[in-house]
Amino acid sequence: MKKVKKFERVEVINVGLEFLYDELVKQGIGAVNVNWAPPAQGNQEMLNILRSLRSGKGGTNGD
Amino acid sequence: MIKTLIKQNFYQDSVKLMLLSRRLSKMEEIENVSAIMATCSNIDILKMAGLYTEEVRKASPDDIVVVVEGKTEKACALAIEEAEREIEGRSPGGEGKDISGEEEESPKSLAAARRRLPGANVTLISVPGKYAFDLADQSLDLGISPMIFSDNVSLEEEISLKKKAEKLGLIVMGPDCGTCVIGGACIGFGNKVKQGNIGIAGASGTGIQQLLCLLYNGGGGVSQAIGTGGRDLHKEVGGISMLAAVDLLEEDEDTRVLVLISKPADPEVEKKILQRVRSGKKPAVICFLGSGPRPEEADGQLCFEPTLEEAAWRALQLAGIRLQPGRSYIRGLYTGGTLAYEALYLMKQKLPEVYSNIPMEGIGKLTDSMVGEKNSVVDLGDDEFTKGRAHPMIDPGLRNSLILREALAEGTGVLMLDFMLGYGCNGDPAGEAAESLRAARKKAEEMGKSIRLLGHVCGTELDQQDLRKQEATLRELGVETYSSNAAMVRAAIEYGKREV
Repeated sequence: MKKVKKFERVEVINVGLEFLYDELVKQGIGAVNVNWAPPAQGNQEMLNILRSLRSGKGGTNGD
Repeated sequence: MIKTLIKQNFYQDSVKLMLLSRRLSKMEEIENVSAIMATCSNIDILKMAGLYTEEVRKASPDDIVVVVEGKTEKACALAIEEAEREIEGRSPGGEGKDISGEEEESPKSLAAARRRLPGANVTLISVPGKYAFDLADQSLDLGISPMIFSDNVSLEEEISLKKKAEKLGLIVMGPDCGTCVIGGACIGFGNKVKQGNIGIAGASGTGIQQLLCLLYNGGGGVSQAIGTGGRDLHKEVGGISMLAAVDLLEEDEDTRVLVLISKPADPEVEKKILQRVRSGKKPAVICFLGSGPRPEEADGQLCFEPTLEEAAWRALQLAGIRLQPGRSYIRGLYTGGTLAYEALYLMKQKLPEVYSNIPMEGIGKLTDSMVGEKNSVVDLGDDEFTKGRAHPMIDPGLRNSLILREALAEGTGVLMLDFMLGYGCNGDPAGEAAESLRAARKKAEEMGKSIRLLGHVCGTELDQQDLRKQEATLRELGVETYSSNAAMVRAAIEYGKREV
């Protein structure tokens, strides 16, 4: 178990509600918004397949 | 005249759809609009609103549905045209803004976002709950601590993420984590406050907001406020994120005093957390709502306070801030969960027959979560109300629709309301409630009924909604305002002793 890393200057990746990203930008926080849509058009079976593929690869890229 | 638009396999977040509904409803000769993702719970809402059409029946949860009701066919057609233009213009693949302020296509994955912002150290996740786990997991793989704003994430997923984060030296803030303040930056819901020497670790979003405001308004400042998610102190989760937050605050040289807040914790988890705090050097105020004062456990380093208000006062003292000096039923309609919890905690000590939709020892369960009984408090931010719908701190529409009925209910003499300000929160919660509050007051007068309307605005004058303006709006509407939730509840209890 590692000791949790201290936050220095905060920079945020936002994924989901876009207005939360806008609120970060208003504060001058370094932020980037992900243009997100439900993967596999929300199909649960496909989601499970994608999840198992990702974990099979070691889950290192997040692409 | 009703017209329906189904956009198959299109997605927009609940706040964008709420804004679209509002914009369309302001078009000429349009009477009623609903723009939703076609999830089961949203379809139920359409049915209640009388907007369920034959076309809606064929929609699936991944479709956007827009139903408009208007006076003429032409008005409805124009509104549908506008909706289609808006939806197609933004999704899929809409353009985003980056930190340089230049228009640039937004990244479509966390990894691509990380390449755009190599110093990213927090991922703020607010997608529908069933997708949040994968994103949080990817974030951990990228070495970035996730803040999961989303609710409806399973307990198993939460445990798995937190155990993984623990191994990696990261922290999972959430799920259902509304508020964090890190290095002066508000992430999610949060109030603009001064930087200072009080650090907060909280398993409670509105609890953190209440503390931020009480500390600021009492002359203090905050170093960091780390949200852990409401279930973190449950036995199964083991307080993993709270322990990490305590470590962070102990290491943080700007933090002089710790405040830990939560609803009641599992006894073993609580023991572990208190041990961790005691192993550090900094004084700490513990406010686990509902666990009561425990003078026997207090020592030079730890003290226990029963309410958020008392915790704030004690923290200010420890931080070296000098402090500035019959019977009718009570109903509370809350947008903030922890404030609702605090209200119930205070009410159950003084009043019989207290009911709520949220579970608490000594509190009865409401038969219908949306209908008050005797003395009652409804938490409208509870999961049952937020499936497919924006949180009431963003969209107070549901709360506003309940004000009239609750204020006029037989035997009710006092109605309590909270108004949450800050980043992420509704732009004018007091103004949005105005119509309902006026209607309640007028109808009560017609009925010869006395009703006291009480409000607490949880905010600061630096917030974009401006605490003073919001309070002034409420006072103009005949609402008595209080500087803390606990003060409002105590006043309500006093008023409740008088006859209607």
